[in-house]
Amino acid sequence: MEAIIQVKNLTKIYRMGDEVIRAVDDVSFDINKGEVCCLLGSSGSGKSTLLNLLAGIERRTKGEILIEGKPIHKMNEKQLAKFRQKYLGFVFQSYNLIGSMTALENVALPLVFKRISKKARDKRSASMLKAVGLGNRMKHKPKEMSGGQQQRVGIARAFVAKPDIVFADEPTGNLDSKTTKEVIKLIRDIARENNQTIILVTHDSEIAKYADRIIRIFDGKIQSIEVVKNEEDLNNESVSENSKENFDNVTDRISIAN
Amino acid sequence: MKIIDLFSMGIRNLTRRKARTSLTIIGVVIGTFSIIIMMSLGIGMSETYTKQIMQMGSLTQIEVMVPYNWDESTGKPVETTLKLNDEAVTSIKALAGVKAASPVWSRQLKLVSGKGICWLYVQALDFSVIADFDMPDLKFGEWPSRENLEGVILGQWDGYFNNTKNYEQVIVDLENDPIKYTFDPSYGEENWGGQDLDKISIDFKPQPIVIAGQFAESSKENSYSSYMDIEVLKGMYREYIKKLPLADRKIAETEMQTYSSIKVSVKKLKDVAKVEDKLNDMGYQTYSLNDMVKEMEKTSNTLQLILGGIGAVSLLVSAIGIANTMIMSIYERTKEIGVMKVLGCLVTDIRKLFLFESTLIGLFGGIFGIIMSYIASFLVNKYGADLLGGVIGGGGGYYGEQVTSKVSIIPFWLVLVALVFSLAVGMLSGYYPARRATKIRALEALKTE
Repeated sequence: MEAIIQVKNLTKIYRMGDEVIRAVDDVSFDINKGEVCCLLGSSGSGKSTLLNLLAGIERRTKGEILIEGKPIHKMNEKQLAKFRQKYLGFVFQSYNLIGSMTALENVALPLVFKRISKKARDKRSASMLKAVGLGNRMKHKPKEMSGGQQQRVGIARAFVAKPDIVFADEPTGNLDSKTTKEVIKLIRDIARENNQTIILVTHDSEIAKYADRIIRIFDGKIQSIEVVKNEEDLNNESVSENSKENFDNVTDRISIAN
Repeated sequence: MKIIDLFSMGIRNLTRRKARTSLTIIGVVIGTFSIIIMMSLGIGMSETYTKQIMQMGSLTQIEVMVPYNWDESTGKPVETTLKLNDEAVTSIKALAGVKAASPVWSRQLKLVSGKGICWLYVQALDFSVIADFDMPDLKFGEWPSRENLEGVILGQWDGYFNNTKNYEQVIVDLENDPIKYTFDPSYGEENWGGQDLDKISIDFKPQPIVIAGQFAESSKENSYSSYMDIEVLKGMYREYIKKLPLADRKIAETEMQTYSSIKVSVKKLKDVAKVEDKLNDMGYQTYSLNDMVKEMEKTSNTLQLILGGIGAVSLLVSAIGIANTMIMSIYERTKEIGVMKVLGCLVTDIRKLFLFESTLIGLFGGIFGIIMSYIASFLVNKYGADLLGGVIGGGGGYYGEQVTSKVSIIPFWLVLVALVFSLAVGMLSGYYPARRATKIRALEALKTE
C-alpha cells in the first residue's frame, strides 16, 4: 500500500496571551491511498486542527506534511489553492452551501475554480447529484432542502472534481442518527468506487466503525492507531438501492469521460 | 475562474441585494450626471462667449489710435507728436507679423434716391489691401476691384431711406435704382435746428454713387457702418469742399491728412499680443479682441473648473457609497469567501470578483448618468434657455442681436471622460474592499455565521 499522506513530527502551537496551547503535539502517521481514515477524539482534542493542517487551511508550527509526496507546508497561498483544486475535496459540518446558488451550481463551484466550461461542469454536477440521490433537486436552493439533503449536496460538491482526498469535518454533526448513517455510507461508497481517500473527523465512535483506520487523538497527541479489518458486517444496512444504482451508472460515465 | 464565470457570479451577487445595489448605482448616476451637466453648462457658456466675440469682428485685427492724454493739474490735453498719417501706416506695415495696415478715415454722407434720404457713416479704408482684412460676407454685390476702386459697401442695416417731409419709408432697390450722395448735412431737410437753410446749405448737387454691395452678417463693426476706398472718398470730398467757404475748406484739407485710426491685420492669431506690445512701445494706443478673448478664456476655464468641481464632489460621495456597499457585502459574504477559498478559489479571483462588482456599479451608474444628462441637456436647451439664458448665456449678446447658442453642450469627449471617470471610481472604490476580501482567512471565515 502506498502512503498518500505522510505526517512527520507535526506540531501546531497557539499563543493566546501568555498561554501556549499545543493543539497538535509532535504527531507522526501515514494514511494509505483509498483508505477511510477517522480522526477520533473529544472536543478540544486537536482533531479538527490536525485536519485543517492536513488540508493546508492552517499553517503548521513544526514538522512536515507530504501529500502525494508534495510538501504542502512549503506551499504559498496560490500553490495551496491550486493544490486544493486538484487533489482535495471538503465536506463541512454546517454544509457551507452558498445560499444564492442552486444545488447544481453549488456542486459545480469547485469546477468553476478549475476553469471548466459551463456545459461540462453542469453535466458532471448533474450526474454527481443523481449519484447522491438528489436528481430531482437540482434547481433547489439550500434553504428549500432538509439538512440531510443539504449535506448530500455538500458531498456531491466534495467529490465532483474527482479529488484524491476528501476531508470531512464532523459531516454528520448536524444530522439525526438515521441520516448520519446514510451520509457516512454514501461518502464511503463513493470513495471506494474511485479508490479515493477519506479523512473523517468525528467525536462519535459509532461513525468511526465505518473507517478502515482509526486514529484516536487526545490532547493533541495520538493515543492509538487502529486498523479495522472486518468492514463487511456494516454493509448490510446499505443506502437506498436506487441512489446506489444511480451512482454506479454515473461513475461508469465519469470514468469513460475521463 | 473564467471571465464569463466571474461575470455571472458578480452579476448574481449584485442582484442578490437589488435595493442596495440600485441605491448605490443611483449615487453614481447622480455623480456622473452632475459632472456632465455642470461641464456641459460651462462649455455652453464659453461657446456663447466665443460666438459673441466672433461677432464683434475678426480676432486678428488691431485698431491703432493716438492716446488721448491730459495734464492732470490743468485738465488740458497734452499735445502728442504722434500723428496717424501715411508715414505712420508705412512704419506699422513694416513691423514683423503684420500682414497689412490701412488708414481709417471716416465721413458722414447722405444718400439720395428720389424723395428718399439715407444717412451713411462711411469708414474709408485702403481697398487695395482689403483682402488681407477678415471681412464678412456680402449679401449682394462684390468688393470693388483693384482696377476700379469706386463703390461703397453698405453695412448690414444701412440703406433705409426715409422721406424727409413726412418721414415715411421709401423703398429703394439698392442694386438697381439710381442713388446719389452729398456731404451737405442739411440737404433735403425742411428744418435744420432753426437755422436758415438757404444760408447754410452748400451749393453741391448730389452726385451719383455706386452701391457695390452690402454685408450679409451683422457684427459690431459693420452693422451700421459702410466701407469705401480711402482715395475714392477723399476724391469725392475734395470735390465737395471746393464749394465750401475758404476757412472751412482749409480745416477740411488738414482733416484729410490725419486719420482717425489705423487698422492692422496680423498674420497669425498668436502674434496679435506681440504686435500689440510693439505698437504700445511706439506710443500708440491699441484695441483688439485679443484681450477680451484672453479674459474670456480665463473666466471660462475658472468657471468650468468650479462647475466640474461641484460635479466631482458628488461623484466622490458616490465613490464612498460604492466602497460602503462593497464592505457591507464582504461582511455578509465572509463565510462564502471562506468556503470559496477552501474549495480552491484563487485569491486573485476573489479580488477580481469584488473589483468586477464595484466596477459594474460604476459602469451602470455611468451609463444611466450619461443617458440622464442627455435628457436633461435636451430639456434645458429646449425649455430652459429662456429661464437660464439671461443668467448663464451671458445676457444674449452685447448689442441688439440675440446670440443663438445652446445653454448646455455635451461634446463626445465629455461622454467618454464621464464613462472613464465612473468606471475608475467604481474600480478605485472597490480596491480597498477587494483587498480586505482577499485578506480574510479561510478558517476564521468558515466559523462566522
